[in-house]
Amino acid sequence: MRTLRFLVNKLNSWSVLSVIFIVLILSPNIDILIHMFTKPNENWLHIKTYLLKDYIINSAILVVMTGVFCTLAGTIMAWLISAYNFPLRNFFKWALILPLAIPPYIAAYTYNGILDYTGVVQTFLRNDLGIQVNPRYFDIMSIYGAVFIFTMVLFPYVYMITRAFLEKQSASLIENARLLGKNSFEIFIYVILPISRGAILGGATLVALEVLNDYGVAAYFGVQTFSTAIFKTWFALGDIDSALKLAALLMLSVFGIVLLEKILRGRKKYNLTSKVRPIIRKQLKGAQAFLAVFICFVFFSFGFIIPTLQLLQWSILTYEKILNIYFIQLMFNSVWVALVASVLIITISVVIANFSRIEDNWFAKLISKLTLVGYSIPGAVIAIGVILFITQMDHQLQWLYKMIDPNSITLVLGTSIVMLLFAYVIRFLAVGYQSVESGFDKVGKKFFEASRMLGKNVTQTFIQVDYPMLKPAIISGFALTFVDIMKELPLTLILRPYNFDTLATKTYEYANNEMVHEASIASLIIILVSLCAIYLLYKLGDKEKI
Amino acid sequence: MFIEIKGLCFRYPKAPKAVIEDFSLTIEQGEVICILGESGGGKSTVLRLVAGLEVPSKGRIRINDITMVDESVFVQPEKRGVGMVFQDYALFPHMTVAENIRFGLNKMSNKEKDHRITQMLDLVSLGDYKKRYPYELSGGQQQRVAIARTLAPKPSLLLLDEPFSNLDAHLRGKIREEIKIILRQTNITVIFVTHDEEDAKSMADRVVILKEGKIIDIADPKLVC
Repeated sequence: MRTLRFLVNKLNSWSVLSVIFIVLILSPNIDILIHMFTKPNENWLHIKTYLLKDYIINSAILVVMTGVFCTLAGTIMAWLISAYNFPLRNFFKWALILPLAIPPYIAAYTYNGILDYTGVVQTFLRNDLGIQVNPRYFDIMSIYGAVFIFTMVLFPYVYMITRAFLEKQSASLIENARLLGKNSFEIFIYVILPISRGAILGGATLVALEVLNDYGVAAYFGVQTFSTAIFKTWFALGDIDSALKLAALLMLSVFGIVLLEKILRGRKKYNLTSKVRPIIRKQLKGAQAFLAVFICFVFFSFGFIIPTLQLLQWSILTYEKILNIYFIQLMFNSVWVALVASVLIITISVVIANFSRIEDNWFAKLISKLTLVGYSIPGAVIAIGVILFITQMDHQLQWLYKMIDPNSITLVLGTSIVMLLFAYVIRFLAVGYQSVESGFDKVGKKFFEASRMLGKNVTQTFIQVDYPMLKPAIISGFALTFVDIMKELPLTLILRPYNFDTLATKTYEYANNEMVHEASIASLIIILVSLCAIYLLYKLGDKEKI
Repeated sequence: MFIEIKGLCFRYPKAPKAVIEDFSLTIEQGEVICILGESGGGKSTVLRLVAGLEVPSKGRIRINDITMVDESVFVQPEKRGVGMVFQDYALFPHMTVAENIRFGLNKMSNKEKDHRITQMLDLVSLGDYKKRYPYELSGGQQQRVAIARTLAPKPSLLLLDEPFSNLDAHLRGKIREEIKIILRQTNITVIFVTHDEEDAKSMADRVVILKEGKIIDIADPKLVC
């Protein structure tokens, strides 16, 4: 009887929908893991014997080197900005976030354009200075070039998280260390680094996940990584089974990284709940001030100014040719597909977050945690999982298709935009969800309970009470997902329907066809939209401090 | 007998001890019952169980001869016809005073709703505050709006959770008297919880003394302390 009461009490549209959404989102990923254990074919033996080692080594070099460089650069600049005053500090404080607006694949082809034989650097040396240099010295299209690109556009992850953390730390920590006779360098090594460990690791993990997710940079530079290998095995060799095995391995390594982060983070938490006196910044003068400005300026220039200026110059050269009706169609495609996917993501986020707030038990917490899974899974893995899943669905639904139209093709969902939208939802649900969930956290449960006591059910309460209060969180969640989707490359590249191009895919296509100049305007639009989102994030962060 | 609570138990998952143990009480129509006890003693949990905001692990609650909860039944809070005034009032910040009160009025014409809002605001002497937002009111005024909002849909039972704890000491006595008058006027059955004996003495018909989740006495308020 009690079970029946439990079921009647708990079964409502919010809980049922939450479970359905999570099952749908997890299914493609579980499909991949299951395929890891299927019988390997000849191709796989070939891959395993001759190629897999390279994929692993290359991916590891990219992740480790980028991780180390980003951690160094991000932490040093976070410390400079939080602990010192120097000329232009306030400008660099937010300017150092801007490189995040440039998707790595755009940075990759822009730098290659700058440095190649006809690029601005070699032309300047040759024509203006009369110096003949070996073009090989300027070849960025290697694994180390890729590390450079990733470092320059991804270091802000570490910078942002570490700076936000340091800003919340108490001045007394540093003052005590100073009174105990430590100099600035020692304080940085013995106090700041250990207490910021969690924040730095959090940033570094995001960097590692972004590197593993990348397809554009590695493919453009010809570096064999897991992601490029998945594409190649699948498209060039037509071997979906082996591609699935590679995807499963990549997924496991991602879980490994996330687990490693948890272990390294340890149990220590240095969260200070009470109000603290913030760190008082020390004034830097002379050579020290110059050095601080120099470091910030170098990273800001390489991460943002140089590629943006180059893209601007190229766009002036090509705008007459590019800006036509076809380009408007591209923009329209990018916008509507991002719009639809963002609406879906926010709707699902709201349903699950509300369910998890109301129920507040282990099951609801688990469902809430599972929404975050997709964000750590690389695009190539999600893509292959989604294709497999949707193809299976199409076969299951044959009877329905035949009933509606006897001449129906086999793959109905599989050739439609549904596949791409589904993949976006899996990959970016975490972005929208975190925003919506933090909104629910702020609103709390008391208004919900008050409304229930005044005779409104869960859905009526959501519409009349929760939604008006959640609006800011919903809008920011929507904006962040929208931008992430507009920038996205690997999923869009594989899963888009035939003849469907977006700004991101066209940019990549132009660059791949040696038409880097033509790619500039689409790239600039993507960067501009991303800048808007960064501004929004920055503003929201500021508000929270108050 | 208007309300019958029998053998009520409640424990949070994984908690070693029950918050409420074997709580039984019957209440007559129009009676004002005070549950008195220290904080953390389970007082508010009793209200939340009666309201339907928590599900008891054992026991039965019947209101007006209808079973609200037992082994096989659980009536959702919005279907119980019970009103509750929260400790921090929980007035919807995005709605004016009038909109807050209108919120609980269902199945009425707009004219009837307007009439009821005016009636309630007159009852709590806040007739001129219709268009104010909650943050534009003092603590005492917010509380009166919360009471008006709760009474507007004519609940059969009113629950008050620490109704005076958020008020300044010098306001307490005055507001206590006002609330007492309002409650007497409406002749509604009330359960309120407090840790203040003065509240119990001045307002209640009977006082239930609760300690660590168990009833240790049910007494006449004049005899408490």
